[in-house]
Amino acid sequence: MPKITVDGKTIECKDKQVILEACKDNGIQIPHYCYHPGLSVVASCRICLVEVEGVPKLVPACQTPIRDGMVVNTNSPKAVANQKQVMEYLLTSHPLDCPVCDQAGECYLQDYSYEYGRAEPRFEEEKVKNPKKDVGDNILLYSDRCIMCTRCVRFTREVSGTSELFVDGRGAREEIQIFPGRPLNNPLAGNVVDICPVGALLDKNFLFKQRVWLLKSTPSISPVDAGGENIWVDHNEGKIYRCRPRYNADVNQWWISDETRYAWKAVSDGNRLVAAKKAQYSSQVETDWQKAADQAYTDLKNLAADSPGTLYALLSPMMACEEAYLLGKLIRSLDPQAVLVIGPVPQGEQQVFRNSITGKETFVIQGEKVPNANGVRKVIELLGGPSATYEELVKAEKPELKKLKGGWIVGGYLKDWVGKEQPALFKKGYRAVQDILPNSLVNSADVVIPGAAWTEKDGCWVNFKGIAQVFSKAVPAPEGVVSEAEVYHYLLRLPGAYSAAAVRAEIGEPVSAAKIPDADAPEPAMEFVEL
Amino acid sequence: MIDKFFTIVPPWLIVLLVIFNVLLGAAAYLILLERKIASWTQDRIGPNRVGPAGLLQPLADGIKMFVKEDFRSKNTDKFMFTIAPIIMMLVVFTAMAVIPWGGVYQGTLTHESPDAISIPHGATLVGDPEPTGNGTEVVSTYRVPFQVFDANIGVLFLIAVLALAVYAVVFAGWASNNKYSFLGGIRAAAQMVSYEVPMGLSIITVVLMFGTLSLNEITEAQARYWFGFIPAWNIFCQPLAFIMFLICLHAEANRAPFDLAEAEQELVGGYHTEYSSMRLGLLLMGEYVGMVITSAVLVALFLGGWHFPGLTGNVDPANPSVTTSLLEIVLRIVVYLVKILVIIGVFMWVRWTLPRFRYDQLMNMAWRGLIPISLFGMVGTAVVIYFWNREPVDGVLLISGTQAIALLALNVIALVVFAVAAKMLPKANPNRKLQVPGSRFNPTQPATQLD
Amino acid sequence: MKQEDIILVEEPQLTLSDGFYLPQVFIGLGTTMKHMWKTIRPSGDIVVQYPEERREDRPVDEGGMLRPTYRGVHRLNKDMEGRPNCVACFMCSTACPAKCIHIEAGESPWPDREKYPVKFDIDELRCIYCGMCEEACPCDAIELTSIYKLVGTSRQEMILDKEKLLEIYDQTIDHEPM
Repeated sequence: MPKITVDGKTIECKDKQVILEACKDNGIQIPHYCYHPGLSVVASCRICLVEVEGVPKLVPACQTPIRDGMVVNTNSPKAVANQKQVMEYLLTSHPLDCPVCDQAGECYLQDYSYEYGRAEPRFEEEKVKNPKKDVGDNILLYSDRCIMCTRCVRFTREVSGTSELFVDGRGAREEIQIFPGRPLNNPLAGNVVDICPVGALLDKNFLFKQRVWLLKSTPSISPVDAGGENIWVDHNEGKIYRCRPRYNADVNQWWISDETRYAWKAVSDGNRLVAAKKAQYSSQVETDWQKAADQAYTDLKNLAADSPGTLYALLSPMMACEEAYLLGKLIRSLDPQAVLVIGPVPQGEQQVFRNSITGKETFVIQGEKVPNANGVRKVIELLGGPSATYEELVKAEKPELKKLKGGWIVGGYLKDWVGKEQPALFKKGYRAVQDILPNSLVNSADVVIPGAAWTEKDGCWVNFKGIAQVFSKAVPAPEGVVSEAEVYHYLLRLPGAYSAAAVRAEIGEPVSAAKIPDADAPEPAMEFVEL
Repeated sequence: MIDKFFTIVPPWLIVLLVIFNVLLGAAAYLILLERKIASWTQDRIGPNRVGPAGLLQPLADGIKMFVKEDFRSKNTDKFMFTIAPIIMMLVVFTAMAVIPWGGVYQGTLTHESPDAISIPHGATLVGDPEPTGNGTEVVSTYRVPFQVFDANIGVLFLIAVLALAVYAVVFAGWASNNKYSFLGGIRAAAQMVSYEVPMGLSIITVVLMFGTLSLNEITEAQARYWFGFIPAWNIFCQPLAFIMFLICLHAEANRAPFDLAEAEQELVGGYHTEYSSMRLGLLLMGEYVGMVITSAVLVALFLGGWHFPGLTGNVDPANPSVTTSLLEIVLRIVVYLVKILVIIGVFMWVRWTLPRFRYDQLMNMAWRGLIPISLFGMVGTAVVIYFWNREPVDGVLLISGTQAIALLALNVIALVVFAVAAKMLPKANPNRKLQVPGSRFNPTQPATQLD
Repeated sequence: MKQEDIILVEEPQLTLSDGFYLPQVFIGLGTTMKHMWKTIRPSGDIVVQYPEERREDRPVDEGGMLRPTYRGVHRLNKDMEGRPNCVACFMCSTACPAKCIHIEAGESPWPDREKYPVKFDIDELRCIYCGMCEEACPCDAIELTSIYKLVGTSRQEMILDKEKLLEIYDQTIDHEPM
């Protein structure tokens, strides 16, 4: 293992690392703008220049590979002078509008200005003022805030492979541009906002909504497809404001799709079901969730008491594994021959993104548009007994499916999921429904219990690769709504309070291996420099 | 004329009616006085909005108390909750009965025959009725005390009745079903029990000196002069007992610095936290009337009661309380009330001067301070009067001027002795740790299993 | 911290008279009596007779109110064109220790600025009138005025919105310039 000395401290590095990475791994901060571990190195911002003994000029830390026995000075007078000069130069054309800039609080320029910059500007001339530009459906570009690190340009070329952005002009007139008629609308476009070190690229959905220092971040998982992209849910006072990618080397690296990014909007949908209902004389009356759950429990029990094998549970692939497991146990406790049906698993088009230069595959948006089909299948397998798929339930050709009279149906999809091709059982028989958004099934069900969206509960999902990943409760569920698991916990009369971790341990592999991500653990590369 | 009137309406009834109403009104105005004194000590003005100089404030307060909702929270003990304010008022007004407000009035009545002698209720005849020579008419001389009930065990009665006041506080605290009220009640009980002792010892000191338990006689014994000009008030010969008694009265009345039972900063309102409306009004009024009554006892025992130079009766120098002048009786009552007012002023003055005692300080003061000192004073007084014959007048033993000086000297000696002894006593350690078995601070001992 | 930095403070011991309480009690009684006398003597030190007499009517050196530094009800300052100075930067609500300022930002309708407050509510009941919002404001938009009379019949009424805060500016600008 090569060893280098940074500021008099000897650190161990991995082979073929650059100085900046080696320092970061060992807790030494070197300022940088243009360097991003997921993108190619251009070494254009020049603030990471460090002094290496034996080299006459300063070298960029982001580009210089380490060599065993190298002696690096990050805060020698020369390096510090360079940092100050770079900061001063960048600020000559940067507007002083931090109070109204949405990046303030997570802005590299702001942080480094405190750490490495001058207190007073010497630049007295008029600053360049560029109008803000609408570059895409979700993205705004404030050109005058741009420091020309070209991270976004590299992203569109190297990750999304769509090459919408380019650098227009030279010198002081340099700016980021789109080609006429080709807006930045690719399915990964939102990532340019995250990688922008300053407030030049901003998300229209988050614009002016909240200051970032007021937001609390909770680790979560993408609900839109089987990829299981890792995200941070940023929220304040019980309201979600945005989702950001969370680094996971095995799943999504630094990126998420725009569908994932804006999936939270379903959570704060005004049409969310908030009141439990039960059918009474062919209309639905509101009640509280315990009464509705008790009603459903009694009614299903009575159905099963006449003849076993008449009940089914529709386990939605939006459910957490714990919830699917508890519901399976609940329905089997009423009727040992109950059929476990996996809910509809919508298939979309799988989108593969390639580096436009090398053609290497960089990111895949999975075609399976539910997060936990894999996990629910595993749970059904674990519980054993009769089971069916949604398609089989629609056709209702299997003999055990013909006997069914009533069941517990769980939705939880982020959009209307009851299509035209729905099982006959959705229109007749007994239906206890748990869902988060209204649909035709909810409107005609015998008992409706509102469910919690994924940001409102703890649980784990198994992605298409079989990796179990935990998501945590970020915001409280609407008044009067509890998570699905808590309803089953209540009906099963289990002791104590519901704990997702305990149920995971009960289910066993692979789910029990999933751990709650440590929110404090440093995230390579995407983590902002702490000053 | 007035003597005839007394046969119909006896003086005790007049005293009862007048004093009862005066006390009720006084309680309201004492609250105003309290607020005024509070604001003066704090460089403020105090209530000055209702009526001239705020004089109608008590009226407004009274109306507020009456028209407020009579609220009792759900889990209170209804019977005890209701009875507590009643006990409070009952006790203080009962204690009022034995206060000698105006000495003894001597009047004459003409009766048609010796067989038809009718004198006012509660009066005693002096000598035999004498014939006037006009047929069978006789003239009788009678004496009647201006007092509701001239009990010869007056002091004992007072101690007994005033000790009952603690029940009101404890009942109120218990019945409220509120932990603050309960704490207030418990504190009041412990405090009152502790301070009864030095109070009793101080009273015994006075009782020893005169050999009587009648408040009337004790007052009369003080209505004299030492060396012809010093009023023979007990405060001058027993200053230490006076101060002990004054301190105990503060504690008995639950007033600052002994107001732990209703410590606002700790216990919300103490035992009356849950009370509202006129029930609260009765508790507060009881407190103030109690203050008046205990001050009256203090005045009777140590400040010569109604006595003031010039108000020593005109019948018999041996019985200075007896007078034939009703004006003098009225003046005596006024003097008495003024003395009470001064003492109450001191109560309020002290309240806004001294901070509240801590509970251990409170108990230390009673058991390590007041009780030894008053015990010393009592034993010393007993020794002095045992070896030094006193002059008996009408069944009461009087203290002469020289004896008074001796007692004063005794007090000074007691003061010096205890000032020195206080330094030599081992210091109390209020912060010592109590070893509670099984607590988390004492893990060596096994925890005792509760429930 | 070094050993020599440690100062051992001896608990003061009670003197003979302290231990006996009474002398100190009498000294205390004297103090209160002095105050009582100072108040009730004919030319007593009397406090401001509030509703009839007001601090703002008195000269500052006689205990009057110093308006520029008084911390009363807030106002939102306007610029020359009558628009609120506020750019909805949330600095005040971030600095607020009582968390009583609620802002909703929006895109401003004027070309010279990005953001402006769509809603700007201050809960005057939660506010502790510390003046931190005024300190934090980068564009002198929020200020505390000398108004101390704030009355409402409901909690909702005591939450002042943007219009009300701008109205307070109109009321106070004459005697309290920005």
